[in-house]
Amino acid sequence: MSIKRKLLLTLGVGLAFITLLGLLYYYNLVTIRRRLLLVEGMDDLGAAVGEVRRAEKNYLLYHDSTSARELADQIRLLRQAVQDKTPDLISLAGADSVNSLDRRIDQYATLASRLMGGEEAAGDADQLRETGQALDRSSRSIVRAERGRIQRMIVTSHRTLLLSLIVLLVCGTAGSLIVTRLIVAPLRRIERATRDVSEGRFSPIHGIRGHDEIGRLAEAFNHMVHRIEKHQKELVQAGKLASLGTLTSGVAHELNNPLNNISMIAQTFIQHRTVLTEVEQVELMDEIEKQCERSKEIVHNLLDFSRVRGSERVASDVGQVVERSLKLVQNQLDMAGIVAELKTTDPLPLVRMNPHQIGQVLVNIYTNAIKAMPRGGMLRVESAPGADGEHVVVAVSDTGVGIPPELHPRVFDPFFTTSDVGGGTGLGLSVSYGIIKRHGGTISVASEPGKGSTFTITLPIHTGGSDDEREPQDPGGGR
Amino acid sequence: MSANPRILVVDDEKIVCDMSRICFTNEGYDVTTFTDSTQARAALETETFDVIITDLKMKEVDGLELLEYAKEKNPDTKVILLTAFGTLETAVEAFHKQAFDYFTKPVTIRDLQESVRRALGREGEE
Repeated sequence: MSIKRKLLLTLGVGLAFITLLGLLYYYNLVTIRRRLLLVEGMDDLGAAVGEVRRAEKNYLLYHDSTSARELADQIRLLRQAVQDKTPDLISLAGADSVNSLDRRIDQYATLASRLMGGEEAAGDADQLRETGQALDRSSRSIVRAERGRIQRMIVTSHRTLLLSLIVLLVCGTAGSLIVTRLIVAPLRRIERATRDVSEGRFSPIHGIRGHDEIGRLAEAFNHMVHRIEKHQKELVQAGKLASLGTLTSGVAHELNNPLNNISMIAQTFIQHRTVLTEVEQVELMDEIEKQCERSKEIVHNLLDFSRVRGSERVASDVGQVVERSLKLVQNQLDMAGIVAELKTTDPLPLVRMNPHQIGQVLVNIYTNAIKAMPRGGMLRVESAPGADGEHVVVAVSDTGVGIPPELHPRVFDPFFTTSDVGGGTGLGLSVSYGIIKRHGGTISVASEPGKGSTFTITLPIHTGGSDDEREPQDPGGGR
Repeated sequence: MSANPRILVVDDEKIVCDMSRICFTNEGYDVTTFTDSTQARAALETETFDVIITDLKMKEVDGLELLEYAKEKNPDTKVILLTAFGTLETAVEAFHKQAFDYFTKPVTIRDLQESVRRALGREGEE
């Protein structure tokens, strides 16, 4: 079910509940009001009974025709009042009590007419008085009972109102908790995952299922992460190829040395084979073999660097990677007349990393440094445990042209380059930045124009343990 | 000419030194070789050579420095530069400093021999 539907349903149920409650209270109020009106009507009945009692008192006092007539009138008025109110009385006190009231009035009227007709028996006057009192009590008790019932209705109303408020509060709280769980919690996870992506960690979101908007969002997010990761890999490869261009020229020159040696041996052999002893001839052939090995190794290093790699990480020594990648650019350094100085704490704490990617980052920084020192200079590479005890720090300093301060924030931007057209893709440092970020590290630059630049990389020290780890291996597979 | 022409070969690639020695000795030259350019410069203090064949990129003293030093000691010395990392810039710089010739590796021994002959003013001799 979609979130829209879920929300509409929840709101609908809530609204229906509140409407039902409202209707209930409306009905209650109407009932109470009607009953109050009835009770007010009963007050008229009480007043009629009072009038009868007053006339009765006068008659018993004076025994004259006026008061007799008045009593008869009042009894008639009371009958009339009771008759008028009969439906109300039945609904208030039930048919039984109305019947008993009627009987009492009849009894009273009979007594009164007996007294007024002169057929007075002994004690009739007292009986009339008692019946009058009973009549009074009956009418009062009906009113009292009804007032008590109204009171109880109001109290019950109060209680149910309070109870339903509590139910509403509990349901509301539970409802919002459920909504939080259903909607907000997955949104938070997506938010976290998005932040991860912005920091270069491309981990898909797992465990958000369902066909609602969030499920679809998570699915789209995972698709996006997958695509970004793929592009990132392509970008890493593109950056590598860019470095490779620079490396290749160095390697090509480097190959000239063994080639020249082989060529010179061959020419010497051809020119002077007659004067060479057999031992010397074998030595020369051995030498050719060695030079072939040397060429193979030069080419191998380059191929090793250029190969597309997975992104699996192993606990490795950064120092070794630093050294190996420096060897890759050694020719460039030689050609540019740059002296390299390597300083490493041995052994360094292990770092969980992909040695090829970190090597790529270093080669990139080295080649940038070489470009920054066209007239030669000094390349200082220092790797040591960080002061915080949690990182390994690699600092690469050159004595090159430096980077103007206003360009510092842009050096890690994609396609930013100070090279002329064709000089650089501007991908190297941005790719490096991505690689280091994904390793949970940092890369920063400090530079002074005319004096040189220092690129500093920090990588978190591997704390060991939890994940299934292969032994630190030789990631180059031989050099 | 009382003695054979003297050739100094300086290259940190030992094979270049060895092969040059074999080839040039057989051609009748007096050959001295160094794989360490510092030693080569020290040798220039006391000895004179007719031709110096030197590598350009070397660890301590590079070919251009050696060229300058040799020319300073004896302007008549002819210096031939060899390099695996040939660039236009270093070639121009070498000729500015009066290098006699400039070769990029791989080089043929015939070319080297020919260049040495020209340096000694013996063109056409075999």
